[in-house]
Amino acid sequence: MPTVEYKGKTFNVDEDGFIDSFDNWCPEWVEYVKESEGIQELTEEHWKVIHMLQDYYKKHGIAPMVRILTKVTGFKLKKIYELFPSGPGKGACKMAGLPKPTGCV
Amino acid sequence: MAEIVSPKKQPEYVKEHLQKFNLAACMTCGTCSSGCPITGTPGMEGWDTRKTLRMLVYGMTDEVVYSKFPWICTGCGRCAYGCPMAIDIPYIMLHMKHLRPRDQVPGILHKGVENCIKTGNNMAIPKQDYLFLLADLGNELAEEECPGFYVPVDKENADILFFPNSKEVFADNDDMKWWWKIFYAARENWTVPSENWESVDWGLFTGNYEATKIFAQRKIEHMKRLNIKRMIMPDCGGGSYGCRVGMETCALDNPENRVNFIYLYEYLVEIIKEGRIKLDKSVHAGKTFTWHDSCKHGRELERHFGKGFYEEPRWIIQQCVDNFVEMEPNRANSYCCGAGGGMWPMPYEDESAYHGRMKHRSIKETGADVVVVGCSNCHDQLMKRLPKYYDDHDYEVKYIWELVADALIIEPWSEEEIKKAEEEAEAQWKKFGIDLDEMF
Repeated sequence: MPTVEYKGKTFNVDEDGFIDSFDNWCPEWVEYVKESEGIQELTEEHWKVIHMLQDYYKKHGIAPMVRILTKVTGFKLKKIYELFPSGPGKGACKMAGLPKPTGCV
Repeated sequence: MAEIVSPKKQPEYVKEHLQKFNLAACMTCGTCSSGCPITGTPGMEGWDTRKTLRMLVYGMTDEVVYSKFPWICTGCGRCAYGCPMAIDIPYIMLHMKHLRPRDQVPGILHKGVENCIKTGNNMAIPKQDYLFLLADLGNELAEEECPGFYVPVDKENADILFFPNSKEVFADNDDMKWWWKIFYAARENWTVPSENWESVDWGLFTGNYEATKIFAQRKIEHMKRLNIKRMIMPDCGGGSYGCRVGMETCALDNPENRVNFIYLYEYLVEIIKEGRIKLDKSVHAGKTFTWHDSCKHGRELERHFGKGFYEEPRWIIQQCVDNFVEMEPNRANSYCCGAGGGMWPMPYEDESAYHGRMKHRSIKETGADVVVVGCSNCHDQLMKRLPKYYDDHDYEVKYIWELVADALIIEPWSEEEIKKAEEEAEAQWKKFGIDLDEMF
């Protein structure tokens, strides 16, 4: 399994660059994804999305549909793309430590 | 210095399967490699289709099975179309994928197949979430421009069965509205399943023959259970093609598994010719449109099932626009977008974009403003991936049903029709336990 070294931490990642397990998620991972996704600064809005994704994942074992994400956070899809330029399925899920969604997204 | 290779004996189970494809008839002419855009893929230097076939003839099955080559083959069939000995090369590559142990299938593909087998859709979207989306998004469309609209779920005796794509249910929600508007305008008696609704088939992408059969059998069961007249084949090239392959297998098991299906092109031609929908070309004035021939709707469908959809989409587009230009090469000679065979969700983005360079060149040479497509896989590749790699020509990408939906002249529903539909919707969502007010 490929690994990523960042600020003294080593992360195992899958072929798509997602963290191998949600249990290994930590603030350094967020920092690493922030840099690799080209996000300038993490705001409370980013964290709102990350926490929602994680709460849903803990309950259901998958990422929520975007419509549920937008309803719960109150952010429109356009806003989510502004926060996470590579989109909810890739950038946001990756940063939140979720596995890559298993669809053609 | 070149390595000397001694021929090995193929294991019987591989030999037996490959014999179906006349591999021994290969004249090593190289037509396959010459016409294949993956020849020269960075990181795959030294590999090409002709050499890979020779490796198999020499018994080097494991070397092929454990290489990336079969996975970056998009199954477009351009090789087989040109092959003078008519060797079915995509099916050989598919079998190489089949021979790969499931825990070594690249990326998320096998996980998606497992999800679909277990939950009825690739992304394991729970039933209540799916129904919530249909109800909520349906209400939105009703409020925006189609009063009385709702998505009929598990409706018995419907005329048309339609299958949603999990990527649209999960993320690209608004993309579902184009088909919905068409059904609304045509006053179609249609429905979608409440379970096992996935349109795509990743069994086809991974050489998982059993999964492809299961997914097709489910579609057949819906048709029988709900007594539906015709199903529209999924738009996704792999989805429709996999479904067709799976349905043939199911029908061989039991002739009663034959059900009526129609391709989206046939459906659109039918409702336009019968005057069930009316179109206004003026909405597309001032732009030039071209058509991308998807491999699994054209060349591969024609090669295996005798009929590719080449002329129907061109006719449909010309009912919606004035300025249409052909792409070169086109029809059976068209280049793949580079995302077939699972290359959209697989972790081989650079390889996929390299393949797509030929399609990009074809698009650029048309000078068209809009590329019209009939497959959701091609759609995302042309709209999202290729422009990241090739930025010397801007264009829009539209689904052919999006083009139709945008040109629709919707004849308003009567008060009675709206009232009846609203009552049906209320009863349906109550039956499924969906109360939008209580969900958020």
